Amino acid sequence: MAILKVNNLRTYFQSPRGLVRAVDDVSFELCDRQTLCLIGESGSGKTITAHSILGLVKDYPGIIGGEIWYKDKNLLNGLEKFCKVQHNGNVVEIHKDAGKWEKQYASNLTNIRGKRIGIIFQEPVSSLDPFFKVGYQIEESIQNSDETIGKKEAREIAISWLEKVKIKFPKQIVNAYPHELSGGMSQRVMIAIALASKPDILIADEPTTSLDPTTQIEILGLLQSLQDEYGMSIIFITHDLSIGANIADTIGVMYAGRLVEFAPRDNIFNYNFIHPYTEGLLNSIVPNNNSDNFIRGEVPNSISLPSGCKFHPRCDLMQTLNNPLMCQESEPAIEFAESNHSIRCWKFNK
Amino acid sequence: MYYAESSQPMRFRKGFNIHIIVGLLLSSFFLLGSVLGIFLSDNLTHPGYEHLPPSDPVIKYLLDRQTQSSFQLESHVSDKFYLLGTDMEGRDIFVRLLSGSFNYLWGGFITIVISILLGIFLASLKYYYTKSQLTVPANFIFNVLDSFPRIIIVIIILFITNFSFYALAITIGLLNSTKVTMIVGANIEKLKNTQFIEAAKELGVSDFNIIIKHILWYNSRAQLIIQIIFGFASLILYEATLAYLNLGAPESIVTWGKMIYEGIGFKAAYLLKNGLLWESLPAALMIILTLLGFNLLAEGVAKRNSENY
Amino acid sequence: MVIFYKVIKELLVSILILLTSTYIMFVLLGQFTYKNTTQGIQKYSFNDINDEYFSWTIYLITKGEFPNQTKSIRDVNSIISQGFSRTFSIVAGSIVVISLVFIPVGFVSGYKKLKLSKLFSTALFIISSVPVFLLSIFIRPFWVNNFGQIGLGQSNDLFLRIGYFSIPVIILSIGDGLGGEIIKHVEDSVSSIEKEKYILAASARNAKIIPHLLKNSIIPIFSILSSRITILLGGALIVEYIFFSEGITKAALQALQDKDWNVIIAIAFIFSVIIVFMNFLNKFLSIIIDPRLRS
Repeated sequence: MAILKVNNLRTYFQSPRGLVRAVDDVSFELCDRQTLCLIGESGSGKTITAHSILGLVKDYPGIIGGEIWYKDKNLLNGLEKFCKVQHNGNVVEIHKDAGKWEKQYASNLTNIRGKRIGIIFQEPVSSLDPFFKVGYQIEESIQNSDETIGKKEAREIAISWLEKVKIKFPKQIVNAYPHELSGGMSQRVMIAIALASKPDILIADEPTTSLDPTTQIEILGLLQSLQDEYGMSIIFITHDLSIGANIADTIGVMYAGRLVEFAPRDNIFNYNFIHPYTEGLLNSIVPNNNSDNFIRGEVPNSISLPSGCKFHPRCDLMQTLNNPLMCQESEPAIEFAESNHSIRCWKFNK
Repeated sequence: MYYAESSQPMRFRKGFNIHIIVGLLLSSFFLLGSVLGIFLSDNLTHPGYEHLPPSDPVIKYLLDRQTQSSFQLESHVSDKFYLLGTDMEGRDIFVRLLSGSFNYLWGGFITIVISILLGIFLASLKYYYTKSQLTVPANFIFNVLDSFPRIIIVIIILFITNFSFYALAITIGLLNSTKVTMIVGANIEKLKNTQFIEAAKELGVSDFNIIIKHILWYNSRAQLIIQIIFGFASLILYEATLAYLNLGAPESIVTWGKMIYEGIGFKAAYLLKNGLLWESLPAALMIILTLLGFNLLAEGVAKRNSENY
Repeated sequence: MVIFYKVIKELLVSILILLTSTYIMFVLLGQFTYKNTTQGIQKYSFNDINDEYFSWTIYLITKGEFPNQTKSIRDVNSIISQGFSRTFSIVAGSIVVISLVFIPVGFVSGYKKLKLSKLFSTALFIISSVPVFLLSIFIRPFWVNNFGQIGLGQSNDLFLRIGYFSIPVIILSIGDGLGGEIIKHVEDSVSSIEKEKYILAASARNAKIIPHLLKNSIIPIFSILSSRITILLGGALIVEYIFFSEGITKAALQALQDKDWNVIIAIAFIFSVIIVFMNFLNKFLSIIIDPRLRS
């Protein structure tokens, strides 16, 4: 049962040096009570995908196409009339009325943002307003979930949530300011804020990247226990494939704004039909006898992407194909290699 | 709204936006005058008089015509062409404008040198060497300078030094140094704990080098340029305001403020009705355009430097 | 409790700064005025200045009013009490105009980026680069014709009174670069705060952003206001001179021409008090509001 289905999402940004295709034709789905791990290097578009789902993208032009289905409702419904896109080869023409688009999107997202879909961020200390007490910020989220809750009641609920995320002395922390908390504690506070309305989906945008390894394990354990308790689905964004090994049911790999692979966890870690990029990522964490297991080359500049398949300058699989020039000239579409395993590579496409 | 991507996206060459261009245009007279003024340097004491020797009957002719402003493009007896006419005493307005801008240039130069040197000195003591012995006195001097009522201090110092123009420039430099201190201090504090500064210190780069080269020149050049522009603008502003109050520079130095004052001053009867008369108008326009040009220039530099661009 | 000690420390430092700047003004004044003694007119020596300073300060603290040290025809306190309300009303009026008009427009310009407010701020920026005295000269004939008959502001017609008072106030709050700087600074602060991560996180939980923006931007906005107060006071000098208003700044100009020591030092002291008070208020506000400065 897919609780979130993203189809052909495109989010572009205009910069002085050119058009940045941050999220380009990304499609995936999230099943109920499952964990999807979005993996990719910095700049591959994972964070922008998460922000697009929640309507947090403020720059221009932003989301220009696609569908985001939450249960049976398309969040990008009715927005096509404000945004017209034409592709002429390499040139993209975008006509978008940003003001009206934002308003319509915001009204589509009422009752969803913060209530049914929550998000936690990468650096928890700077994601909390330094001028307000931590308790106030939790209460904001609680009052968002249900406007009828009064101040006192909200405070009690906030303290109970701090207990649920396993913070010691919750009554003191409720009155604390964000700069007084450590990284792990403020991440727990962020989790409490996100879960205050008991959402169906939690998007975790690299929540453990800035924490030290012991705290990392605690937070991951906390997330998993809360997932079991409240029946949530989690989208976990990270650049660390070993976390995916631990907690993921499905794994999506992103590269240069494209989703290059979407497969169940076991398929990936058993090296079944995997994309060369994923193979490179796996090789760099699994200890092998060869010490030079790295992907040669560098992540491409978002403005000047390679032609054809975006990964081909770094790909070792190209030579084994009958027609290696195809990788340089045209981009493979994402297709199913197996029933639930889709991949974007000419080797595995028919 | 229309966006297209092609192989060469079209935009201004990085470095010039509309603010800088308009700002440069408007303040160009100032810059022009400052350059040309170098060639007028031997006539700085009596600018404009070089066209009219004292015994010229034209002066008498002009002085007799007390009630009329003298914007005339006709050449006089000496068949010189006066671009903007002459004022009551027969001095060529255009030449006086040029020479005024030259004086402002030198005064402004003194102002900015003092304000930037003192500002960097105080900011380093306050924010960089935070544990040294000189920090508390530097802090104290900064706070005292910051809390002076500027216009009164300036007037008092003008009285003491007998209205010397360069004393005014030095005083304004001292008073503006607090703003420079705050800006430089903010930059030092922002960059002090970054890793590249730490690395530089480990490599043995001297403190002087770190502050001047790495923090200031590489990272806060734009803000210093804005402070320099602000220094010139504040000198012109103060000088014009004080000259209007009859506290301006003495005879030998020509400034735009003085030209405004002289244009109005003798015509008290016209003051209520007309406000401003022709002799003062070129100088007033010049002040407005130059200040506007400076402000736009500063805004353009700030916009170019910010990430929003 | 820590807050209390910090505030008291700032207060003491402010008082010290006030005393020092008054001393420096005494030194400067001593250079250009002369003393009437029994032996005739003499220059002030260093000891004389110290004596004058101490006796002046002690008189001020004990009796609460300004002393008349050198013999002069006018009494300092009466001059100040006559003119203080005029100057205070003009300066306070322009602060009100700034806070009620410029700052909200800058706020809206930075947050919502409405075209109308951006137009307003650009127009204000252009007008504000004109010096106060030029603006006053251009507007004064119009003002005299329409509102000038009032004299010292006594009239029953509300429109005349408002016009009489508001035009100098508006000129004071715009000119000398003040209006443009303030609105630009407010715009920049608000738009840079809006880019912060906690605003993004707050909008992700559908919280109202305006309380967050307000609380974070109060300190930068107030700091630009308090650092521009000297320009405001300087402009008040011109505005009073041109618009025939009998305030203390006009008296100060007069006293500087006449070299009347008492009045100059008293008015300069009042200005210093205002400036030091605004700086103190700035630090006080940042201690009270910003939790990071409390530990």
